[in-house]
Amino acid sequence: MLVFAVSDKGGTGRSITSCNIVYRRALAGHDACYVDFDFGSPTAGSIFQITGAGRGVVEGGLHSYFGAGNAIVEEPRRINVWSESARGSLRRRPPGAGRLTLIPGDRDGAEFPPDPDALDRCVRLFLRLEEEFELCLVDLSAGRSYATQLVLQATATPALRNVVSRWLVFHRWTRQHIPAAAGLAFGRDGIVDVGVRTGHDERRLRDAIRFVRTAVVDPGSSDLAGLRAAQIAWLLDCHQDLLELAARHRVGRSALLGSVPLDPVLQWREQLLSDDDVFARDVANRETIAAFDDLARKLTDPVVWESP
Amino acid sequence: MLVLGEVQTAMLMHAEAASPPLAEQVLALVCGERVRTSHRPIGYAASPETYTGVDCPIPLRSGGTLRGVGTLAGRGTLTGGRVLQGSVTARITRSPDGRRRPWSHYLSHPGVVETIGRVDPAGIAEAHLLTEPASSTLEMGAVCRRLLVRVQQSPHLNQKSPFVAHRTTLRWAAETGTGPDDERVRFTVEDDGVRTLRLVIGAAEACDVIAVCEDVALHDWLLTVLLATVERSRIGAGEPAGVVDRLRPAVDHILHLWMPAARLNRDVMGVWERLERRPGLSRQWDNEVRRVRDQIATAAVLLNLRRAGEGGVATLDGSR
Repeated sequence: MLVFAVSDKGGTGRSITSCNIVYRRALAGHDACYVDFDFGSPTAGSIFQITGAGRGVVEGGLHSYFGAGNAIVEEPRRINVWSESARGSLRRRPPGAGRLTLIPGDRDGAEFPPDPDALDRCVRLFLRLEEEFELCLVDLSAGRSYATQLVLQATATPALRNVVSRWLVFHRWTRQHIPAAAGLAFGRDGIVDVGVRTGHDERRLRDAIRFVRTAVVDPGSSDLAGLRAAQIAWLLDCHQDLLELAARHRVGRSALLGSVPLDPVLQWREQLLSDDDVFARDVANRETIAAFDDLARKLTDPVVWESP
Repeated sequence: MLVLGEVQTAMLMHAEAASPPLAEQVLALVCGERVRTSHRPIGYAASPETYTGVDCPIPLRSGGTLRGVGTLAGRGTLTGGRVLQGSVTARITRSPDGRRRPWSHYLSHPGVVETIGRVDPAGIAEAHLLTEPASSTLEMGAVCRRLLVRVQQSPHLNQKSPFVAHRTTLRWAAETGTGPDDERVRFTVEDDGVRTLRLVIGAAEACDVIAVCEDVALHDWLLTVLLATVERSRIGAGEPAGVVDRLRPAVDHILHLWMPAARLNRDVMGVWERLERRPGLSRQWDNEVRRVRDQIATAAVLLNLRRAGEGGVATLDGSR
């Protein structure tokens, strides 16, 4: 299955949430792979804490594969996170876990202009990953990018038409982010608009899009017990407003995949949350890991992906 | 004679095992040429040979290189309608006059790469097996990948694998024509799905050598896939029904394909015999298959006991 992660604005927590979803999937015994299509800023290596690849690999990454690096390569480099992460708790594959692979960009790589050969290469790459991985999560850069257009073209080709593709649109739970996310999905030059122009069926593509809310403050949470009654009432009002706003923009409950709560560990240090961070070190919240697990599970839950 | 080769083995991206007519359609890689098929003792189809011109440096064990010019022979094969292989080979010979000749000469010797300079067969063979996983001698890996992708993206397939399986790459080098006392077979398993096979054997035709190497690659892949499936099934840790569910793809799609040396010529049977002595691929396979069947039998018994327990009869652990 191919999953594309997009967001209209930067700083939504798209990459960090995506990395954690891939990680939870691998822990559950599935072969999972994270593909860094954020060509302007290929920094997924730092989330997986790969030494020497924090800002992309020196050579042979995705930029080189697409002919935008120093030398063109036939296959982009694969990094086995279980053996190459600098973090002790990641470096041993737990028994029964699947493969956890990162396909990084090139260091100091940049967005590149459209190229006719890129589409062919993109199709070959996705077909190969579909053959070898149960989940292949492709992280696209924020906003309307060439990379987004490229993957929409690729998934519309006959070779990939039968492969299940799904879209996750990440947005923060604010007045500014909700309409922006809706615009990216359904607005002009958004995913559906570009997709239909590249040959996708509009209905099918719409049904393959779900939203993920990030850094959400739950007004009912016990963590807010210290707030004054007036503050809580105000939060509840805001939350209600946002729910109505989301429904108006068709980003409401039926299109929602899940929410990730606000977690200080994610805000200050973008990293994978291990069970160790929650239970042994007690720095991260149990709810955050539960949210990642929930998202990872729902990616393949047929009930969630029925037509809304 | 020195022959170098690379075989990449993968799962065909199609929901069902390919029927013989479908196998012929997807392997029709050269217009107007026939796909070879056989049905006994196992379904098998091989694409027509494809040729790729090369003029590249061949690495040597000493660290230097030698210029090689000629053509690589490649083909795609499908076994049991399920296991897809891309196989690329080069017979290495020395150019008689040590000069680069016009392409017409190389095209009249398909599958042969001539070296300009002295040939050290053992040195070329060892260097071929030692290349980094990402690169390969004469770009054989890239030619293999191209063959596989041409088949996998065929419009006749639905691109839906029954389950995902890691690809494996077998790099092999064979020297033939040695005396019976000097025969050697060395098979190694490296990281990231790379395997190497070094053969030093007596008189044998190149086509038979290629066939035995493809056969070893096929069976090593089957074993690798089965071992990965058993490891993920969480035997002993998960619920029996869940364990059986995770083992099922292997039972449905893999277990019936094990048939070492099914189509080999007598000259190369010795290679399999040595591999069966050490490392003993069939021994490991049989062991794992027994383990899978034991798990399924145990799960069935437990399920029956649980049902009986619900009817009031005592279960294994004494509960009701």
